[in-house]
Amino acid sequence: MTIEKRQETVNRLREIVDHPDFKSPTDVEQFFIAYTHLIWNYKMVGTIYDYYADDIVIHVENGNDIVGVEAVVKDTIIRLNAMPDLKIEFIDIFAEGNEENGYKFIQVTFHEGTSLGPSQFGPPTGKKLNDNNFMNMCECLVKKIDGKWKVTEEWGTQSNKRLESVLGKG
Amino acid sequence: MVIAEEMAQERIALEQAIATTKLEDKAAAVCFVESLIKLIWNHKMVGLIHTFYDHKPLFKGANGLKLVSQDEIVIETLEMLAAFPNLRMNITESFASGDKNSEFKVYLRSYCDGQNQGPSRFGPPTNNVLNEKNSLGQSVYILKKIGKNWKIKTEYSLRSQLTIEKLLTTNHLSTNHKG
Repeated sequence: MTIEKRQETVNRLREIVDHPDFKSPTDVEQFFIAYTHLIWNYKMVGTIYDYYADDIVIHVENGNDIVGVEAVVKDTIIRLNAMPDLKIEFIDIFAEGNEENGYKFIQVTFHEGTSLGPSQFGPPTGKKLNDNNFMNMCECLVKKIDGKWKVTEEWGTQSNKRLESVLGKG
Repeated sequence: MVIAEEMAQERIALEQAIATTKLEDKAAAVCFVESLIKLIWNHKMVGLIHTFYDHKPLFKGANGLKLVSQDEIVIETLEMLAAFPNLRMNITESFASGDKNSEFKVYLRSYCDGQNQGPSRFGPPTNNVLNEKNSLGQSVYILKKIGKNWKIKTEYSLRSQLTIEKLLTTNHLSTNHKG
């Protein structure tokens, strides 16, 4: 991808992400596809602060919940540092809800990336995640807080065994 | 006897729900899938996979697990039920999209209660327990009308797989053994 093409894509995603207008579940689906790509594929990690609540809780397996927006940012940076070429691609996403009560959505994604940087499991391995060995599912609640849409709670599962193996555990 | 009667009554109610639910809208699709999943897991009606999954299904799970036949899904289900014979799936969230003219997509979030009382590929039973804290599960089911009947064509499922493998392998994680 050329520098110009990349910037075009970033600008297009920013246009969507900077102007949330959740009149229907479809709007929510389109927004969060763009938001996910912007954060992960284009490393605009700071935009997490725009739409995650301060006291966000991400429920993950074994009760090791991620609590607070700072923890979400930290978790994201650590993952990107371990896999700087990480790309998240959507298998599916669908939402339910309305403007008044808020929305919930589920997304199914796979990750493509290479262990090129250090992680909590050690030095990089050069191993890869892809559609054939990794899947992630993520459910989010989205509510208006002080007039602004925020992700207030999230539940996530992923192929952790493969992730740990790729990042060098064992 | 009381337990048997209660289980039988609950199963019959779920079977009636499936038999009478007409998939006209999203709420009906959720009811259909919830009932089917409770029957398969909580009531061990594993054979219903042959009835309600398409004959060429796609199941995608953790770490690249890909199943493409009813028999493979049956075996995967039996393996989990054999390891946790008293497994109970508790559905904590559900919603759907789609319509009767195309397809329905149904999402379930759940956790399991159960104890590793049977053997698994990881060895003999450990007596470790599944509970709300260690068995978060998420599944998306895509329903399509095949001929006259609605079938599950595709399923994406993940459930705290790494944690469950540890529960099946080691004894020290157990904190709340059941009787």
